[in-house]
Amino acid sequence: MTDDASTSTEPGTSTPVLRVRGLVAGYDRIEALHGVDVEVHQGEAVTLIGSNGAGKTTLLRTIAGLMRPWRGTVEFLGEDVSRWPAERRARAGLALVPEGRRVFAGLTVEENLRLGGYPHPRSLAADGLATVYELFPKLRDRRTQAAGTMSGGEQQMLAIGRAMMSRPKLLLLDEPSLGLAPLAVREVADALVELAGRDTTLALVEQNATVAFHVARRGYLLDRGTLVTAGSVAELREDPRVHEAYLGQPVK
Amino acid sequence: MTSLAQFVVTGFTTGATYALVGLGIALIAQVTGVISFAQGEFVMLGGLTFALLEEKGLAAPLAALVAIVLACAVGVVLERLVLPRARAGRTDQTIMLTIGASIVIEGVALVVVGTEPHFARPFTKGSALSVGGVHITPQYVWVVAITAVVLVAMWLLLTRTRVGWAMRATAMDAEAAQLSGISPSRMSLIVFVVAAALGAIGGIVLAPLQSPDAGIGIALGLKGFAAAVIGGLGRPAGAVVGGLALGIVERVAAGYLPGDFSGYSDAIAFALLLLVLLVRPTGLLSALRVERV
Amino acid sequence: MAVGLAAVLTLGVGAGCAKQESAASDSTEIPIGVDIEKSGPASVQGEAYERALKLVARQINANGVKVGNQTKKIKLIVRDNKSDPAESLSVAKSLIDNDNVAAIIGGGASPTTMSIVDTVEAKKVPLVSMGSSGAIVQPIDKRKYIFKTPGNTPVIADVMLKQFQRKGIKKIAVLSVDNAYGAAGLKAWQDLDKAGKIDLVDNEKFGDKDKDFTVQVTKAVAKHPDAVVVWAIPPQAGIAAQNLRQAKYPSNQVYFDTGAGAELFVKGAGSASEGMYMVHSRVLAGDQITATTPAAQAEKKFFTDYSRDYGNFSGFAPMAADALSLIVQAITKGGRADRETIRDSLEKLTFDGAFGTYQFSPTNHGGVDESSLALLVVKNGTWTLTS
Repeated sequence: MTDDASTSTEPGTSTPVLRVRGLVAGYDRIEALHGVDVEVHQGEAVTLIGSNGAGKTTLLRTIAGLMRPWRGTVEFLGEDVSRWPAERRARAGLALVPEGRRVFAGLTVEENLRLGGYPHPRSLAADGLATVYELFPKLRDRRTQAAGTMSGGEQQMLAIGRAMMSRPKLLLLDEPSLGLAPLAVREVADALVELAGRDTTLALVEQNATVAFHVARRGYLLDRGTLVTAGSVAELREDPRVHEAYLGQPVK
Repeated sequence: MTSLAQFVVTGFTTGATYALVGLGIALIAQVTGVISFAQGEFVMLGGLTFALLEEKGLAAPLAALVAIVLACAVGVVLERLVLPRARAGRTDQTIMLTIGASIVIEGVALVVVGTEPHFARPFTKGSALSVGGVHITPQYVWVVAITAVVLVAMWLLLTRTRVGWAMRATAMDAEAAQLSGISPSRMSLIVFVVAAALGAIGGIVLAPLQSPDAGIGIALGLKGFAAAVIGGLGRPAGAVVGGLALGIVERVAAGYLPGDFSGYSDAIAFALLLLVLLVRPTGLLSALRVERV
Repeated sequence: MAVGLAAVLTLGVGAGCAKQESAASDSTEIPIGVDIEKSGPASVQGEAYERALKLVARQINANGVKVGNQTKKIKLIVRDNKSDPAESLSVAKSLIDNDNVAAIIGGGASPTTMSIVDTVEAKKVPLVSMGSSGAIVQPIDKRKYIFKTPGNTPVIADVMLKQFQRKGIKKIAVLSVDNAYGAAGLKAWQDLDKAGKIDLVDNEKFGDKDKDFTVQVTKAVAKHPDAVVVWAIPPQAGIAAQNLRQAKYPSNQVYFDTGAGAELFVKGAGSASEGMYMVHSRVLAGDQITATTPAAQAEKKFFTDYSRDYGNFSGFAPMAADALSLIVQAITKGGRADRETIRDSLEKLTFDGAFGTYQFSPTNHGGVDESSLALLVVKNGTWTLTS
């Protein structure tokens, strides 16, 4: 059933940027993902939706290499990266903006951004900084401020900017709107739409369906570690299982 | 008053070595989460190797270089030994391992060099300067100057270089650092090597004042640990301040206790450590602590 | 059955006795135990002792030892006490019980001797120590088997006191290591202070592993003593010399006990020791000895032999050399190599050794006499006799 769901909307036949097959993973002895298949193609914005505890964060962390898969494989740009440590995947262009932002609080905004470009030669930093500052003008104003002293929304922009500095071929975002003020949610969502519009390949985990469907064109619905359905955003919007997952939250 | 100044000057010199050891311990603790009780052995390795080579007629700068390289090599071995356990989250094992490593390093030094202390010549000749009745030998000046240069270099490394940022980033959030492409195992190796070099330099500058022997490491490791804890284990600057404070308190206390007790300066250091742990477990400088994730 | 068992027991005991006899008198070798500091803080001494003992044993064994009408050889059994009093005790017990030695040389210092004297006394084994503390050989009724080669602490203090009186020195400060050896030195001066013969204005102690005495020196010098007396062994003696020079204290007002050894300026003090004094045997300035008395000639010969074999001379070497020579003399004079004979014979011995002249008696087991001690001064990097 899951196989069927994930292949039904697959566009084109080129090698996907990310192909996850039969992924089983968990914490300690508790299995959180029971065999999940996901594909993300070049230039696509994909969302992974589902209720709390569906396994979305586990899926992203396993893709990024922060957790080891128990079974199954993660292929990135046609290569099996299942055994690679997270830093190697990051250097290969697989960037994760982790849940809770995780900026380096004691470092300045610019130091944070420069660290994002750590895998690349120093000469590329200026170019990268310019791109990030253009996307988030607020960060330019706060270049020398300690990251820990900024608001949640600004920290989220910084976390996204830091990931952008690594010139990712795939950007994974874990709950970027979580815990932000409504205005900040909007700013972040707009920035993601902007990124998606620039052909950035991205996969977004969101509890806020409004944000998820605003940014992405295609999505997967996860429930208790299993893929329930997949399809275009238009299809998902109408799916009762999606409504159930969001427990009556308005889905627009 | 002159006596007090003399005690402070002397304490500052010994404290500089505690500070370098403590800084190494604090850096390792921050970047890897390992508390290394073996760091005093690098002072021994550095100081003893330097003194031995110098006795054999090697030029001082060359002897110092060999001593530092040897200490760094031992630092690499220690790191390879300890890190897998640290990764597995076995803090208890890593502490036991560093203590064990300390005993092994001392044992090997005893077998190779023997128990005799060895003397290094002061870096420059000349008699003590008198500043307002306080006597300062040229070697004191060397100890303070070299320690200061090393500390400034460390500060520049940590704040002005990519590898320094990467080390600090790993200390702040190892996972987020990994996501930026920073390899924690590489950072761990670097920090162990840096800490070994810090200890070795401390041993080398002190060698002409306090003849090193194979047995000095364990006590120095504990003093360095005390320095790091007194300063708050999370802050490199705290370890430096803690080390200097420890050295000065030790000497001043010895100076003002009656002559019958002046042989007990070690006890004073550990009493101070206990006091800080009881009264202020997060270290004396914790009030100044900046927010850390 | 009971008879059989008794027979076996008798046989066993008899065999045991025979074995002990053979080790003490029948064998061609005389086992002598050596309990010294081959490692640890006092290893500088231990090294010199072992060299000296090997040198003297070689010279003695070249002709053999006349025991009655037999000629025997000395067999040294050298064990390391790690400069640790407790370790010294187990070394001594092992030498007595396992090696069945005829006599023991050691410990090489006061702390490692004080820990073994009662046991050795109880087991009735003659012992010659290189420790200097007076408590090693006193009270004499509990030290029947215990002898030592260095002069008694008060005797050394007395040599210094005479110099102080000559120079008009009245106020002194004492720096001493915090163990049995340093305590003996400090006590000698406290007694002289009480007797009104000197004014002890300050005393400072340091631990036996400490490596910096700037604080102690600063405090002592602040009391403006006319002289500073140091009771320490190398390398601490050398560090004390350095620290005193750093404090700009005049070197011709610094006095070291015998324990500072010839190594004072070789190990650590370097040029800092120039002009400082030490009470020691004349042997330290062996190449300057011109007297033709038997004692002076024995000292000069040992100085020459040791320096030829090992390069630098050591102030500790003659103490061990004499310990062995004294035991061998006692065996020759007594005509037997058993423990009781050696003890009885030692107590009647008068001997001119490498370290000086010994005149043992039932009331004196305590080392070279005052006439053998001299005040030496470091001049041009070498020990020189003062006039």
